Parts: sequence; structure tokens; C-alpha cells
Amino acid sequence: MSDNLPELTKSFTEDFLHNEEESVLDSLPPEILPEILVRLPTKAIIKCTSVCKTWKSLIQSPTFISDYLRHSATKNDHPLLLFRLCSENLAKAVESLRRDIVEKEVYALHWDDNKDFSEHASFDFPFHGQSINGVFRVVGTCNGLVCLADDLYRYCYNFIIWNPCIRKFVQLPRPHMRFSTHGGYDASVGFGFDSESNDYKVVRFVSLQNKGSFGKFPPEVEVYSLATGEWRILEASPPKGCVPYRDQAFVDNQEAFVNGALHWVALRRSKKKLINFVMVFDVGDEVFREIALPNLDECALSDSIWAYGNSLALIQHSNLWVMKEYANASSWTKILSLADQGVRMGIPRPLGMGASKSKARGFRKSGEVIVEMGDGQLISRDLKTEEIKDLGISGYGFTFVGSYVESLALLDNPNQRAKTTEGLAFLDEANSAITEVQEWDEKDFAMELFRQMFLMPFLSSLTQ
Amino acid sequence: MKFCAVKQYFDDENNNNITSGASTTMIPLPNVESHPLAILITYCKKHLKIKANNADNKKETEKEMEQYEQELLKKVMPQELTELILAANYLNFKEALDFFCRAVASAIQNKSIEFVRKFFGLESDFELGEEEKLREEFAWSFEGVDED
Repeated sequence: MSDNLPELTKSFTEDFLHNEEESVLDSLPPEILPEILVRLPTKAIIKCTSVCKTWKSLIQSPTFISDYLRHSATKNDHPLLLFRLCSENLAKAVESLRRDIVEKEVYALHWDDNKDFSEHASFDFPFHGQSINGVFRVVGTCNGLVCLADDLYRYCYNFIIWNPCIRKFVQLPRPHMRFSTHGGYDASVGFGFDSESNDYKVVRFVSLQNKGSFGKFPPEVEVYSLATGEWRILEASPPKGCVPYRDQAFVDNQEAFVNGALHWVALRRSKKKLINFVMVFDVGDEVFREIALPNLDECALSDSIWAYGNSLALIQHSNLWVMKEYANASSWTKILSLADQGVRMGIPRPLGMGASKSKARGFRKSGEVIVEMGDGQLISRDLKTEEIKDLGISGYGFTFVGSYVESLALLDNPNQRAKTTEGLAFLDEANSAITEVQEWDEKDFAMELFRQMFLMPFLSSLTQ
Repeated sequence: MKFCAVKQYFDDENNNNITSGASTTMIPLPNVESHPLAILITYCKKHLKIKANNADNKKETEKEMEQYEQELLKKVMPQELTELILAANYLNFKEALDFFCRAVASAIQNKSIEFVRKFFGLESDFELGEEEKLREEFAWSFEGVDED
């Protein structure tokens, strides 16, 4: 599929080159130039920053970056999906806490079109080999930016905001709430955009172990703002409840960014019952809300919440629900059971046993649910007709799918690494229990002991 | 809406209570040459015709429009492009402006910086070494550029 640009014939450009006359478009009024540039693909725009000073400052201006995003987002007839895929070898290695330095995480953009689901672009992964856990967790995508967190299994604080189209990234500084400062905790992370202040934010909901039993008190909240480049602990208190980090073996999706707010499934302990509800955080105003979930009686640990158009979808006990009217809890409607016709939802299984059941991975623009089958094959299923389509792609675990829009976000930032560039420095001391040591070879084990007992304390004393 | 500037003129006329019944009202368009105007009128008529023919089928409209646009581009000379863009901009003819801007974008997207400068009549005004630094930082964006 092409980028839908009309083709000027070869003779047009050849004529132009061979003509000694003046250039074609030298008398162009200044307001026309952005109209032309905004229609260029990202690679060409980046190249054009080298044309002259005027072009460079135009392209890097926040106004143009916003205009480019708006133009990119309204090309609705050719929506894109970002896939993060792991090979079978890589997934197995990560699940067994083994380092596999050969296999790379794959990041690819596909056209979200039933007639042509081909690949539009694939990205070189610049952080290969830097993950302590083996693969990064994709927190979410927003306006062409991808937020990565290296927190799959261990306490680790390597957060990255990355624009793969223009190869720019920002590595976040360490957050305030860590194992070494606050003790054990459970945390969930979200990534969103504040359209009022044109700022991107990373939000952490942290439930501290030393505060008592989970679900009885509100979590601590820490927010990183790209504009300030810093983390800040929020004064305002969220509603009581715990937003547990659920690893991929249990739950298919962590957060949903919709209508300017982040949504997580939270747990609350009320009397003797454990209740699920949706914790909502407005990224702009930084205020909290709640939305009730259907089936209050059963607290399903495997509930997962998803962005679905302008509203939310919920997967609970293999059933797919959609909230027809955003924020109106009574409009939750059961749409489909995913446990039939051979497409069955993942039931929580202990790590390492190898999920043989299929799992939901995301939604297409037109609302079909994308499912990863037990053998790795990715399919999409129409919610009305229940028709299944083979997408021709495979993922073997840790698969991420999200809608994507090409943008120039981060172009006005230099590539930033946090002060300590070593991924290891983000690994928290002592805790990160190496449970499955038998999978490591002796050399790895000895290295890890060395790191934990000697190198880490030394490095963190350097960065204090 | 096509030719918004012209529509605006009619609206203004109505407001001024001038007899607008005449079908021979003359609308001054000082900033548009007759030749690009003729092309734009043809483009507009064609667009409306295709739309009418494929009333319900948006995809068909798009496909036919694309075919027509390719044909049109074969007949347009480079020098005319500036005039067409200026005319479409002045007349506030959004579809035509979008089309011609896309055409220019496609002409330059895989070309070298030198080509682009010549195309727009620009000179490099970077300080010594500044351009080299940029080219180095964004070296990946220069891959796959067409030969001049």
C-alpha cells in the first residue's frame, strides 16, 4: 500500500533539473510551505531540517509538530497498528529469567486494513541488550510515542519515552519511590498526554507493602512530566484501592488512555470482600475518579481494561464487555464470549508453564479484537459477525498491539539518557530476588551475585 | 466547499442588496491568472461529476479521482505548479490545494537536499559545520535518496 501521494512523472522532475531557469517554487508565500511539508513522511521531514535555517526552525517548532500530528491523525482511511513481537526463543528465555542477547524484540507498523494488513515499516530497536528482565514492557503508545518500562519481573526503574519514526528518545531519571527508599511495593505505570499543556506524562501508582494489607488504603502516586523532566509525588490522594501490577501471565493489558485520562483496574478491600473497579486519573487536571465494573460480586483477578474507541472495553472471565457510554457504568454491555469457537481466553497460569490458551492483545480501529492463539498466530475477530481473520503475524508472548500515529514528537528534545547510562544502575539493590537460579549458568549467577553485593551499592553511592 | 473566496463574494453581494439575479455577475479575481483558473475550474467540475456518479461509494470516488489526478499531473508543467498553488490558496479551494501540495511533497520526498534547495530557490544559510552536524545526527534520513 502506498502513502497515497500522487506521483509527479519522471519527466516533470527531469525537465526541472535540466532547465537552467529559476526554480519552480521560489515565490511561494510562507503559509504554503507548512502545507507541503506536513504531507511528507517523517523520514523526509527530518532530512529537510538540513535545507536551511528557516526550514529547520519551522520543522522543529511546537506549532508545526502539533500540526503534523493533527494531519497524521486525520488520515483515518489508513490507520496504523504498532506491534511489539517476541520470537519463541526470546519469550522462552525471558520467562525462564535467562538472558538471550541474540534475539531482538521486533517493533513493526502494519496497515490496519482488511484487504492489506502488510507491514508499513519496522524499527531498529535502539535499546537491545539493555533490559535487565530480557524484554522491555510496553506501557503504551500516544501520539507516535512509545513508553517502555523495564519492570517485567524485578524492581527496576529504566523508563524510556521513544519516537521510533524519528529515532529520538528520552530516558527518565529514577523515580522517588523505590525499593531502596520505601521498601517493598506493587506498582502500575501509565503513559498519557495532557492536551492543555501539550505535555506527556508517565504516572506510577505505588501500593507500599509497609502500609498494611493491599486494597485497604490509597496508593501513592508519582508523576513524571516531559516538560519539566522530573518526577513529582502527588499531594492529592486517590480513592482507596490497590492497582496491582499484574504480569503478563495473568493479565493481558495494564492501562488504557482514553479521553485524556488513564484507566486501571483497581482492587479494593471492603469488609470481607475484594472488589474490582476502574481507577481513573485525568492526566491534565491530575484528579481521580472511579468507574464501577459490571459483576461486582465476583472479583476476577484476571480483569483487564482496554481503550475501545472513545470508551473502554473489559475482558472478564473470557467475556468481552464494552462500556457503550463512556463513564456511565450502567452502560457496560456484554458483547462476546471469547471462550467459544476454539478461541479461548487465557486463564491465569503460573509463570513458566507456558500458556497454551489464547489471549486478547488489542483492538483494531474498526473494533475487531486481536487475539494471540496458543501457537503464536495472531488473528482478529469481528465482534458482530464473529468472523475470524488471520493477520499473518505471530507473537509468542509479551506481545503488544496498539493504535499508532506517525508524529514528530520529541523532535525538539535532544536524545537524553539519564545520568547513569548503565541499565544495571536502574536495578534496585538486594531485592530483585533471583528465584529461578537453576536456569542460569554458573557464570551468570556469579556475575549477578557480584552485582548485587558489591557493584550496586558502589554505583548507587556514586550517583547520590 | 470549493472556491470559497467566490462564494464569499456572493454572500457579500447579497448582504449589500445588489441585484444578484444576473447570471453574468463579474467577480474580480485580481490574483488569479486565467490559465490556472481554467485548470482549477476543470478540476472542480470533474470532482463534482465523479462524486455525483459514485454517490454512495466513497472508495470508488477516491479511486476515480486518483486516476484523474494522475492524468492531470502528466499535463502540468513545472512552472504552472506555483501558479496553481497560489490560485487554489487564494480561492480557498481546499481539495485542489491539498492535491497540489501532495504532488509537490511526493516530488521532493526522496530527493537530495540540493535538489530541494534548487526546487524552492533556497540557499543554505547554515554556519560553518552546522550542516555537517545535522547531516551526521540524521544520517539515517539520508539513506535511499534518489540520485540527482
